Amino acid sequence: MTIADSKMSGPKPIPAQAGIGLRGPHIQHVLDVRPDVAWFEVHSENYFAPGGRAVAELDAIRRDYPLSLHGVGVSLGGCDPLDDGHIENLRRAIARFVPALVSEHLCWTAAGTQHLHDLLPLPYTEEALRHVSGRIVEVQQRLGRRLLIENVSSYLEFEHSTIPEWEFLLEVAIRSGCGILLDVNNIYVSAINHGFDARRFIDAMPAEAVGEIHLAGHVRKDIDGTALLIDSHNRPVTDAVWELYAHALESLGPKPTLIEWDSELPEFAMLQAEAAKAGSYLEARHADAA
Amino acid sequence: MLTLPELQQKFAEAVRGGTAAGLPLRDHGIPGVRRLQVYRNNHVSALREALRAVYPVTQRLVGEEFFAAAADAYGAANPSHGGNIQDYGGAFPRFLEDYAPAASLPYLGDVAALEWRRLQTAFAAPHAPMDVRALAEVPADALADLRFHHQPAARAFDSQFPILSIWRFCQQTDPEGRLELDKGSERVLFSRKAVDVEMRLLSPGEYAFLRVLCRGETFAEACRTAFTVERSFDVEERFAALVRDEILTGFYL
Repeated sequence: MTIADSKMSGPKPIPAQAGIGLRGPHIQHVLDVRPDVAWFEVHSENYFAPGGRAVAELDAIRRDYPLSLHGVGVSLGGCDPLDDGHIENLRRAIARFVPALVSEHLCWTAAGTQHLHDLLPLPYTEEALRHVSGRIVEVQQRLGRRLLIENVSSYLEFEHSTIPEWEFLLEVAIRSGCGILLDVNNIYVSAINHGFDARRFIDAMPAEAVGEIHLAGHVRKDIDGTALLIDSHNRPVTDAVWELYAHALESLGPKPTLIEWDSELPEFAMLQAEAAKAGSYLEARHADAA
Repeated sequence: MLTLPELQQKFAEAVRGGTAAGLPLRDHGIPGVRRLQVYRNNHVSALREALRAVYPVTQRLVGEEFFAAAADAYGAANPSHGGNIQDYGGAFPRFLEDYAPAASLPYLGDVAALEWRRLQTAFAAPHAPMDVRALAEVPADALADLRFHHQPAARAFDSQFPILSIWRFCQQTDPEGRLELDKGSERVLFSRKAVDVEMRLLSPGEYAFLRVLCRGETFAEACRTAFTVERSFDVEERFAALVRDEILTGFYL
């Protein structure tokens, strides 16, 4: 498959249905069974290699399913210079797999060339807003496409933050021209951790800016009698997050929705059950709209 | 007030075990330092899990707990320098060689080195096999001066331990028999046809032959070196195998 071939076929668009975050241990199953899943999303960095099994498998999967590439390593909010090698690898992965959507996170992951491999919170200040918006503009230019930017779960806030997170996210989208990947679980986790109203976050999002929704499981830790939620991606979506998701669909209309599960991976059927549940919310919303 | 670069630098140092003093963290029901601990845990766990994924056989030899302690010690001394975690951990084999708690397992570093090379082979760029018809058309008197390209995935590894035997022994779910650690040195060739990684042993002559060829030196020079280390080295047969197995993928004068 050459780049010219893939351009002619064009990416299969991501439908406003439930997709599944595809992880290594499930790939053989998907190739063997070709399960009925509306679309898949994978972590971009897992497919940076120039050859080998993983990229060959993704070539096969993306021929049959709409695909989204979701990155964790560009460090859009970071202050180190952008990593040219990393951007080039991402550009090559986009050229090879022709994803319908490409997303990254509204966070930073490295400082002083040390990469922490975690989605670290920004202070919500005018300085950070200017910085991260400019970086997104630059990365979008270098990749030659628009990105969706995801709100992250956070466990702490900085004293000098002056802008509510939802306003910050929205302003980033306005200034950079990026779309929004709204992670409803992350909104819930951060809302509990910092004491804001999750619905207020969602209600601030303009429907046309949101290109995708993420759902995942979290765990509750008790710290001296106060709850701290951890975005663990190791269990089913909680009831409170499903409720918030229903609210998001009501406010935004039906959107492509992804089930993410990253550690203690269950059988694939469990992910399908979660996707089916998201699908029933989506269908109800489609029916309302009709 | 800290600038954004200052804040991130200080925060990163705190996540990697430094002090959180001076970081402007809100308490809001839970002390800021306790909140920071989540990021510390995430970071340590991300590096540890990355090494677990790359070095499963090494972990099998020492057990999960020992491996976690080694991984954490490595992580503390070796920050990750790239946004792709798959690139992290290449110096872990060398680290294990000097890791005092593993001193009784002198081959542990080489087991890890085998696992790292195997993974690099798995991820390498694809190749096309050699055009053997073109090779057959090379005049006999030009053969000695030929130089060769090898597949990008090919790696060779010379260990003083029976490293491939150890690796294969550890692949069994219920290892049978005894692991013979005093079998002496093994030289391993890693290569790929399509997507599957293959590993096989190289004789001393074959290892030397291949090393010289992969440095871009001539066929004649490779033969000379191979015969020095292995007098009975069968050039014709071994060269044909290296072409057939797609280790050597092209030639030039």
